[in-house]
Amino acid sequence: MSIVDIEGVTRRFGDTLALDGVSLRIEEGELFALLGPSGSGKTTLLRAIAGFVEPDAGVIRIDGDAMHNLPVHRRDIGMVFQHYALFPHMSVFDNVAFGLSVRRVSRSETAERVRAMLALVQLQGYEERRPGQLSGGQQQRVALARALVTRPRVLLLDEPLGALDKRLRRRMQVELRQIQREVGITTVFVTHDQEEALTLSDRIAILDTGRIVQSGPPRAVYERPETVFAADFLGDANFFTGWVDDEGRVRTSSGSALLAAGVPEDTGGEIILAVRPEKLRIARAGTPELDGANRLAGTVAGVLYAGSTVTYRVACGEAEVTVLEQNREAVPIAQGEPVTVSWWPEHTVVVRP
Amino acid sequence: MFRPRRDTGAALAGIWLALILGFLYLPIAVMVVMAFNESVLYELPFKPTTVWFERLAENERLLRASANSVGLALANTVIATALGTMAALAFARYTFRGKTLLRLLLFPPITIPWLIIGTAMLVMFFWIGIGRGLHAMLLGHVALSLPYVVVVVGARLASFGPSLEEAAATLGANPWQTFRRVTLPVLAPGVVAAALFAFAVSFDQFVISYFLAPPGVSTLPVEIYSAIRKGFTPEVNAISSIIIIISMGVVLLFARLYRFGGAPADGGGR
Repeated sequence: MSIVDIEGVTRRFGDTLALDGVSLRIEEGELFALLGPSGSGKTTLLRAIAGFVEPDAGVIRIDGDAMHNLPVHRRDIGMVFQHYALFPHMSVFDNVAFGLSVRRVSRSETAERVRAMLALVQLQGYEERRPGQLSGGQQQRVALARALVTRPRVLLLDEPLGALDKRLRRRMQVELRQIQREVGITTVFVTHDQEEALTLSDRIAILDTGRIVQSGPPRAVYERPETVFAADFLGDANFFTGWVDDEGRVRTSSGSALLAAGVPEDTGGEIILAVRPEKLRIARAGTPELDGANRLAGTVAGVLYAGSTVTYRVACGEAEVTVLEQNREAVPIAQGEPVTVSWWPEHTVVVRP
Repeated sequence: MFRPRRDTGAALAGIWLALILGFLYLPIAVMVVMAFNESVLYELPFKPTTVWFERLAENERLLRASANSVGLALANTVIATALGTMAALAFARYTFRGKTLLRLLLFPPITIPWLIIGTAMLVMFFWIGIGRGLHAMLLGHVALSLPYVVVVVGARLASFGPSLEEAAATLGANPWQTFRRVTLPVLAPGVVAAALFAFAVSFDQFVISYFLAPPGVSTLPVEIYSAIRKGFTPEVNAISSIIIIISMGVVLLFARLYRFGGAPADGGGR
């Protein structure tokens, strides 16, 4: 169980800067998610830890050992690939045993450890099958067992659940989390699926154009995004641009005054506020029970029905806000109805552009 | 071979295929039958005999040519398959200067007429002092077979990408262990197919062999050609029949192994 230390790692591919001075410390036993759009550098960072990509500058350390120029096969890592990369010519047993056999572990110990690992991923009885005879979820488990059986220092997962359908993905998320806890291994995983990052990880780093935009526990990053990109990439957000007035309220261009938590005094310039759509409440104009200190009046411009939830687009002057509500209105609010949207100042976050 | 189908289109396709196969195999079948016929001039009625095979056993020239052909083809198969597989690996797994151009240059030799390549080789070999002989023929055959091997092995390599090898590396396998235990076994069907190609290119080769063979040395195709020019004897039928049976046996064996031997599937999950 180990600590991964990344210091100022930079890597250039031709003209593009894939990693731009990335520094990160992944703690012992932590499940750490690298989240970002394609081309953000998340996969490059994972492959740099694995040793497939050598940084142009900066250091990667595992337990204090610099990984510089250490070939992949001597890094003592476990990795699960996006499409599992199971060896098609070997049985499940031989796939899992591969890492032990190249380490010349004795036959009896190999058999014992493979069996224990297959029990952990609930694949007992599948030893003699070939990867081609397994379902996607089963292949995923074999890949995980194969990566863990050598008791590596770090487990790396490259979009591990990306190839599974949604229902199976949910189940595997829970299982993956359980197994990771049970083994207690330091794990880094790459995903572009924000929900997966939020449910699975202890901490998240959001990457964009080779840089870490923000990192922290899922709740902190989600509730307190620091930049427009972070707010927009992890979840959805409504943005308001305005100026701070004498009373510490934010005046938007459409004339409304909004209260927010942690508004800096006298910024002199424009500031941007972000609010998550599910923090907003919507009610027909004139309904008394609405609470929340920030209020906007508007008209419903669109309704997106999704079963358990309903998303409203509300035109408030020039601005359009998105409201996500649980589906509990007795009479659904229709397009064109005048409404009031409200929310609490503590849900209003100041973000950098 | 035919299974009754309600679909007339499929039935017609079956008949069409049968006609094509018949067109291909009929002359061969006639030749094999005639190898056992007593008449020199393909005359009927058919009188069974093995006299041509007995004559063949005494025909030193034809036997020596056969031995040359088989030896040459085997040596060519080993050398061309090894070199070609290495080249295919380099193309698939490494980036280097001029790669695109080099890969492009592999294809023209497949389309340039052998007659022209043969002439070029003859001139070149004389010019640099290699001259003619079995060694020159081997050189020519290897050069001709290489593009086929690179293309066939390359296609197989392209079908599974580098992630299997990367997975092996993360599990602690050094490059040699990775090659021996992952790359080569997964590649095997492609390598075997390429080897068969290389063998066929050499064994069939007439033009290059004819140009590069010094007096007194010949291969089977060259020998058969001169035999036919001098006057046809059914001994040629006899030796051809033996070759057909052996080569068909090899191909059928390969097909059987490929299908039932747990052919390494197509690169795991996709």
